[in-house]
Amino acid sequence: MKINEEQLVFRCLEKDPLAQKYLFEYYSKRMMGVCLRYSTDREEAQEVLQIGLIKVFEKLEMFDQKGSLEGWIRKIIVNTALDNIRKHKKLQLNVDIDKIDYQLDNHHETAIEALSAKDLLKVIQQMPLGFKTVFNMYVIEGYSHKEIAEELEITVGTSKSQFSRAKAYLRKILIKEEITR
Amino acid sequence: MKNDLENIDELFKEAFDGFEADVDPSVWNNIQGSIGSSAVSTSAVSTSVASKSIALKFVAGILVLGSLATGIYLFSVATTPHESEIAVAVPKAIIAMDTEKGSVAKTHEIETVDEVVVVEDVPVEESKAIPKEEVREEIPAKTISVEQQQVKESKVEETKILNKETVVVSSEKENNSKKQVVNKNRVEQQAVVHAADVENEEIQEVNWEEDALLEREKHSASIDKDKIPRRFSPNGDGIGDVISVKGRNIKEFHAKILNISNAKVIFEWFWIEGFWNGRDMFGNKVPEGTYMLQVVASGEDGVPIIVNQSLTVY
Repeated sequence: MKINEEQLVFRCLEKDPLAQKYLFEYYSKRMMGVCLRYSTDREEAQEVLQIGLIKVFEKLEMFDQKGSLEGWIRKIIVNTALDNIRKHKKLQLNVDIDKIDYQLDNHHETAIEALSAKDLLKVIQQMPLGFKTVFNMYVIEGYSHKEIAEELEITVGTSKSQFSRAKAYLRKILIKEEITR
Repeated sequence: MKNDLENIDELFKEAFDGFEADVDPSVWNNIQGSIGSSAVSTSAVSTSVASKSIALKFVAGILVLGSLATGIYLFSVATTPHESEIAVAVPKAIIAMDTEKGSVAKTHEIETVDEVVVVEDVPVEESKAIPKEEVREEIPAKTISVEQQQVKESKVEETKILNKETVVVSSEKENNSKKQVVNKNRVEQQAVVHAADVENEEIQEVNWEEDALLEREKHSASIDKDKIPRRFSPNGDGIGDVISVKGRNIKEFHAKILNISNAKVIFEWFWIEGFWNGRDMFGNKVPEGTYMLQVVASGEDGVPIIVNQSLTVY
């Protein structure tokens, strides 16, 4: 079924329960994927998702139909995830990447291309929070370092160094676990 | 493979492009409880709760308006926890409610107003929102209070009013936010039934009376599997235009119409009185062909009954 965004939004604004459910069904899984990347576990991700999607419904009248609905929803979800990080956690900006005690399941002996999002998610979730947040924002959401700095109230330099250290960290983990040879 | 590690960001970017993960049903329940018209009782979302419960108190005043409409529909709703709570509050009304459930709901009789008001007054009084006298005055006059401008504006189209008022009523029970939306759905769907399919209406009426009798004795749900058609033609000729599932003692109910090739949900309903009219959620007719009907229902004992069968639209 092709989704008509305009109609869907309109009906959600009318509080049509079917449309609300449809919107949820259509976007929640992908948004859960986003939330998982910014969280340490499923529970946390679901909490963020829930709060974020409620915001989506509450702010829906502000959606201007110019961009895609998904992009708009995603932005709200990411912001909610960042709120969650800002409110509840310290960014742990000085983690020593040599002290990595992360264990990936050992059954991966394939090359790195074969790694699924699920495997990589595990890695990401276990990353120190500063690395994880900056890496997610920069690589996957496409924020600039300047934007990241503003969002997280850090300097551009910190954002950049967190990012390169995050990459070093990930490289180390993937090599350590002999995922690559 | 060193090269891959140089492009570690690309690797992650690609892997997470369109990445999806399952979401627990509880998330939707909580969201639904928060975004529905006015009632909120979700633990995880505490921010909006306070303001909305204040709103509730205002809304309680408007409750009166719904008495006519809502009352009728409250009866029509098969015994849900929500309804039985009301019934407990007004013991004298229980029997009347059950026996008249079917006919009252179906005929839209305005004479039922007084009786309805009696039932509904109780929650209102408990919440100290409006004295009984006021209630009685307002209803015959059909006065619509100013706070509920939306209602006024909606062309006083009956269905719409019903929707809103039903929600208001249920919002009295703050913990019932889910049920509330379900009620709303029921109302919507039933309104369509009245307009669209007289034949179907008669069948339902009979079954409801049956339901009412049986429900007092049994606790486990049952679904009349054999009565679910395998084929139907939603062509608007009044014969077999909708498909519905019949059963008894249903407490929880969820039916879905799935696209057989990709298992996507095309339509769904959450109440036994619901039905499918061969259209998707946006009112577009689905193409002819075979679909999957999936029903999960349970009674008070919580034992689920699952029905999976194909359904041909022609």
